[in-house]
Amino acid sequence: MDKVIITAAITGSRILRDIAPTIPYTPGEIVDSAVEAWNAGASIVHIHVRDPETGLGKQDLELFRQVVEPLRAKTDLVLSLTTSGIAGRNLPYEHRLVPLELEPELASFDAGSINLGSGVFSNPPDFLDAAAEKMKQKGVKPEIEVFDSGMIVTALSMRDQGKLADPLHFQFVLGTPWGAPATPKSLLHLQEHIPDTATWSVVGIGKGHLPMSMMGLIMGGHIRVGLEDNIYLDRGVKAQTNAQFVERIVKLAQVYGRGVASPRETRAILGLAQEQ
Amino acid sequence: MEITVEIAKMNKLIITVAQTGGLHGKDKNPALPEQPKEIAQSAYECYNAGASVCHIHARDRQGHTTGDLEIYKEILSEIRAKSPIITQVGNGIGGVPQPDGSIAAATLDERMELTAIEPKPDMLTINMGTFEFDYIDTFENPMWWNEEFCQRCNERNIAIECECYDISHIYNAMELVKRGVLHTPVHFSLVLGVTGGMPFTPKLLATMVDTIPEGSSWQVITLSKHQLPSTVMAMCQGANIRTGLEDNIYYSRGVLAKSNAQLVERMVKIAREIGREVATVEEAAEMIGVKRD
Repeated sequence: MDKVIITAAITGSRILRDIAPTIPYTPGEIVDSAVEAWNAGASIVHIHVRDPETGLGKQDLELFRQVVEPLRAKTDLVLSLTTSGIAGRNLPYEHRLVPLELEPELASFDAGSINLGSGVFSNPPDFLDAAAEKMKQKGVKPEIEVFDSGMIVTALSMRDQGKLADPLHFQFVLGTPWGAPATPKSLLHLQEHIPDTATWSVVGIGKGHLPMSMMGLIMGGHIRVGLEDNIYLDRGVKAQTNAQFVERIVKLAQVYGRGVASPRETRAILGLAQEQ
Repeated sequence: MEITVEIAKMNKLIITVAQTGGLHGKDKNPALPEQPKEIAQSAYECYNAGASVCHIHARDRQGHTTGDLEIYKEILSEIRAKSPIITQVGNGIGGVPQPDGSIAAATLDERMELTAIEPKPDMLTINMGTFEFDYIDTFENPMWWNEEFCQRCNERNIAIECECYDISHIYNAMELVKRGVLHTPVHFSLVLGVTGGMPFTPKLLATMVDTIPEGSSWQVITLSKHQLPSTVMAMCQGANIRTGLEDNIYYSRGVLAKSNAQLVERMVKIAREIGREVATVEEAAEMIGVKRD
């Protein structure tokens, strides 16, 4: 079994300080939180940026640059930049794809449309084609986000058409309203449908985050945690930092006896180019 | 049965330690307790580490598996003298050495006598179906025999745990409920990975769990390398777990466990980190329906 890769999803674009008082807003805060998560054992950070004033998610190249450049200077983290932008707000394609200009090693690739809360998270085929094309052009590996099984079918079909390349990397995002639930059976079902050569990680949203992390640990998958996905450390206890979530997974992995992958090891596991 | 993934809403975690077993012995791991005083000392250490149930098999003075009621009596008395841990005797006894040097399953008659052990154990296990246990011998568990075994346990107020090595075994247990000899909620042990029975994969465990009737409790028992993944998976589904040198002589790949307590301690550490509280003996007794006089 490979060592376990821990991804920290630093801030997302939806949760505001009214419910998560310490969630990072400004590029400086996002960088600091990512560095802390890296020190705690995360090897990938999943990055959204926000309007520093309002805290609302924004697909702004300059803001992404203000996060990416310091992280490249200070850490050897693998950067995964979002192309979902603000899920449910469905920004113009060119805004969603703007972070690819910074040539991150990974970028999210949401492989289909789905209801999300009261809205629709729209990822129609022409957007996926444009995203896949641009990622190929910029040398970015797609992190294929899967909210339900049809998204795996979509990704495999795009692979067969030559638009995505093996080995694929999947991120199962379970427990969103109203995607596949964050239960062991749901994960087992999805994992069965990806190719043997693929790597995968799982995130459970909210209360599902620990059970899904543990399933990832025992099944040989990888784990994503962080304030984007879950703001509670324990029932009724809000997390103060992203690093707290990472630290817990590191402890559990140690007790379990599965090593935690360094960024270098992560690059080898995911087949990323070793140039940093 | 339907499961929750909200750890804070789950029952407290009952940790059972299977210290000795009826197959391998000190030849495989010198820390495996065989004699009554050793078993009691190890049970005491496991109790201190967080185990609330101790699963018991007996060995003779040479360390051979035995159904000798005198030795069971000694074991139960020694355990009770040292700790309040819940005592559970495995009704399979194990592989008993024969005069010709081979190993054979204990006989049905010998095994039925376990219902008469003094002092009374808190629990006995029943095995819910007949199969080729590890290809050593046919492990016979006929329905009529299990029915009588349950009746005898009921007469003495001994709690019952149902060991299920395959899907059909769960249905066999429900048949005993129908016949009125097994009471609900049923306490299932899902035993995966014994050759001849259901192997362990996360998916097969999930399928077994699906088959259990609502309201039951369950724990998982697996052997060697499967023990850690299966117990962690069970812990996240609100189930109970079993560990111990009967099931697994190793702590990690190629490294022998130092003691039963060391294996219990690891389970407690994981439970604490994921926020699952560990049941005390009193809480476990209440949950399992153990009635002490």
